[in-house]
Amino acid sequence: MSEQLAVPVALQRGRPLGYWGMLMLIATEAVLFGAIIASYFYIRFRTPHWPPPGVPEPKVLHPLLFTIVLIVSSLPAGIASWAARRQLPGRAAWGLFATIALAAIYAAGTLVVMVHAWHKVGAQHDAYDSLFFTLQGAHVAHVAAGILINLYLLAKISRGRLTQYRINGIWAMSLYWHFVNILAVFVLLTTISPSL
Amino acid sequence: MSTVVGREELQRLESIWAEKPGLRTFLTTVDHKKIGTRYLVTSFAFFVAAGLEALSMRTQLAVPDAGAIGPKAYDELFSMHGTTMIFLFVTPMLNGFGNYMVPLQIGARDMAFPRMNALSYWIYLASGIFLYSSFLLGSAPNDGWFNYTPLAEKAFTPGLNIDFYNLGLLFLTVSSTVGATNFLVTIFKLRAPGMSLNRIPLFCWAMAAQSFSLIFALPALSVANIFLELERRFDFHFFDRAHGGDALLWQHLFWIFGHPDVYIIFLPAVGIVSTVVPVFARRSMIAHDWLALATMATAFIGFGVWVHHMFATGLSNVTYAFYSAASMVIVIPSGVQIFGWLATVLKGRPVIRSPFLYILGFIVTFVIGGVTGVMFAAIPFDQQITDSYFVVAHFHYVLFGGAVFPIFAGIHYWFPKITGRMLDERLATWSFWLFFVGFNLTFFPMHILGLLGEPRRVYTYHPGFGWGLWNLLSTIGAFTLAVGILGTVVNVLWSRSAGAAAGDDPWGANTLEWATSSPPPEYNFPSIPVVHSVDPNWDVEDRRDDARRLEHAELTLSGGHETIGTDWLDADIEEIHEGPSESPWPLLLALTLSWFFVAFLAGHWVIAGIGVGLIAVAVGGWHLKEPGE
Repeated sequence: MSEQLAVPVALQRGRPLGYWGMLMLIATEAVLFGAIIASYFYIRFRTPHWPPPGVPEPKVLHPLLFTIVLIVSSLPAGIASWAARRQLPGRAAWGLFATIALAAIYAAGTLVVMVHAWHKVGAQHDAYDSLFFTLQGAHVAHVAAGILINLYLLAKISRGRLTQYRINGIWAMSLYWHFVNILAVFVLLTTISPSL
Repeated sequence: MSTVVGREELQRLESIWAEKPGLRTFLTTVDHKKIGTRYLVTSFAFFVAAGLEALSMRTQLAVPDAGAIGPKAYDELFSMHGTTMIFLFVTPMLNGFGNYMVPLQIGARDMAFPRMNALSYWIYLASGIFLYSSFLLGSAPNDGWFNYTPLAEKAFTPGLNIDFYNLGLLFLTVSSTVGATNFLVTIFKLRAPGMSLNRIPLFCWAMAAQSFSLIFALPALSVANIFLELERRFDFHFFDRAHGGDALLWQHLFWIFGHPDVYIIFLPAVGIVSTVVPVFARRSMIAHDWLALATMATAFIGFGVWVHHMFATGLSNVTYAFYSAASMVIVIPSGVQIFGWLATVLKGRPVIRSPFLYILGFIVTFVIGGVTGVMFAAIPFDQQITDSYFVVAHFHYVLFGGAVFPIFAGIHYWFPKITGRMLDERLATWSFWLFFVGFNLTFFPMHILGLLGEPRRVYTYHPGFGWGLWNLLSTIGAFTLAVGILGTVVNVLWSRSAGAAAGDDPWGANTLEWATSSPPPEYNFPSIPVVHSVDPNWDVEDRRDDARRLEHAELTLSGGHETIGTDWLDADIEEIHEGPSESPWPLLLALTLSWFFVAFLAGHWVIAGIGVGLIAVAVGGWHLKEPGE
């Protein structure tokens, strides 16, 4: 009985703890965005005109294009995670780099869209504008945080070894990345909904 | 008895896990037992602070037209009393027990993320200090613990009061989210081999249910806080009708968090009840699986009842009917638990000791609170007595009865494990009776006052209303209760050094925290226990096997800060996890977060921006080196 219980040292079957921790973070972030989006529609269905008079309807084309670029970045993020787990540091680094580049296009583009909207009306005009800027701003902030963390991981694996700790980090971050990209679809559909 | 191999293994574990005493270790430790104890001590300090606030209010209300405290101070007192009790006492206190006991109960060496565990404590401490520093500036939160708009908007409460509330709670939320994640991963991934899902101790089930609720409920509160802070600071609009907002949005967001929070408070407390009952009834818990299911069901249904806090706001009848029904449904899992405990006590041979006294007190008070709770689900009754003292009586019976009684049971039950000494039983019994009588004398008269029409949150009342006698009785009760609590404090302080030695397992308990010494060694268990039943510490032969395995250096994991990872369903061994040891980064990250929140409160945007940069640096520093490097 007790003989069977001696643990083989190299045993490695489960997913890393950080993976499960990231899932919990994703769950709580999903509710956070869910609450903002629910508030958006709660206010919307209590308001006769949406957007209110004097506020232009949201543009569709540019946000749509930027969101597509962001969603495409899920592919290199997935490749980075796949390559890292197979001990291919070169491909993992390229995957991270491509993810960062595509995400940067989204973040920069969306910021330009937001600055334009800000100059037209600003966030302080009405609940509509406040909700738009809060939701969009929260999402861009999440993408920006993701870019920073991916840059950090890229620097770490291109200078050091691809250790289990870093593999776990890249694995968990790719999960986060897919989540942020799915979120982008909901954020986009909500913010452009008045024009649809 | 012990072999050379066994002694060598113990020495190796000792040298790997031992932390050097001193200030440096104090600031950098990641030991779940030390962090748990800190949670317990800190949250008890906040309990005392909130208790003193309550005593001040009861002093003011003892007689009609009293002049001890003016309306402004009274508003701050009841707001901070509620906020402190809910956010800074009950939840962190239960997290303290969880931090200390969960890894021990599941046979692990530490939490899944030891550094994040330290982080969540430091953030909790910092946010508590942040909230209480508002008293120094004379602008403590003053719009009640649920902080309704429009009163909480800038136009009606211009001072920093509400900014302290918003930012303090956002800050604290970081701690709670980190803690909940940690508990879930710990409970589902680090259990001892053989502790399959149906053998998880009920206290751990309760912590898991609480953590799930926190993960899914807290963001609603955060969104409400962020919206209100954006509105107050940057003239955004979410809650003011004049700019297309809606004041009821606050109530929805707050109670989507707020009602699950009732179970966030209540579930771990009943987890303590389910831990103590079988030990003192001297038999295995009846309907163990049903109690675990009821715990999860309560947490789940708890998300569908929030509108019952809003029955007086004029929503549609369909809405009311749904939430009224849901509020009735939630009685069922609570009933399952109550009958499970009662059946276990009746079928066992109960031994009445101080922890069990508090459990019996809990059952009596909680049933009374539950009965008045069902009354609220009847909407006409709710609309009649809403915002009266009847509500105050109800939720104190539920929260004090449902959470503080079990917390005191937990203090008496686990004190020997944490300190290695027993509390004085005589003093504990006296304290309990003062506590029990004082509690009922404080809060029972409030039912009557509510039915007589006394409104809550008002600093005084007219002598002609005839409320004087009941209020005086309530105040006398409050001071009796305070003496009872003081008795426990004295008992704890005295017994810490002078109590009788406890031994490993003074209660003859069934869970694994009693399978190791009191207090436990840094590495918790010399050899990771292997579990075959729901009452592992009553399986004498299994525990002898543990000792035998140590002699053969099996499952001792003496290669570093190691613990066993198992699969979440059957708890089969998957791998060995190497955890981190002492680290300065949790404290530094908490300090950078404090920097940000203080600068934001003060309105120094540049300094707050630097704070964001510092937070990023601290997160980077955290991951600079790898565990074991």
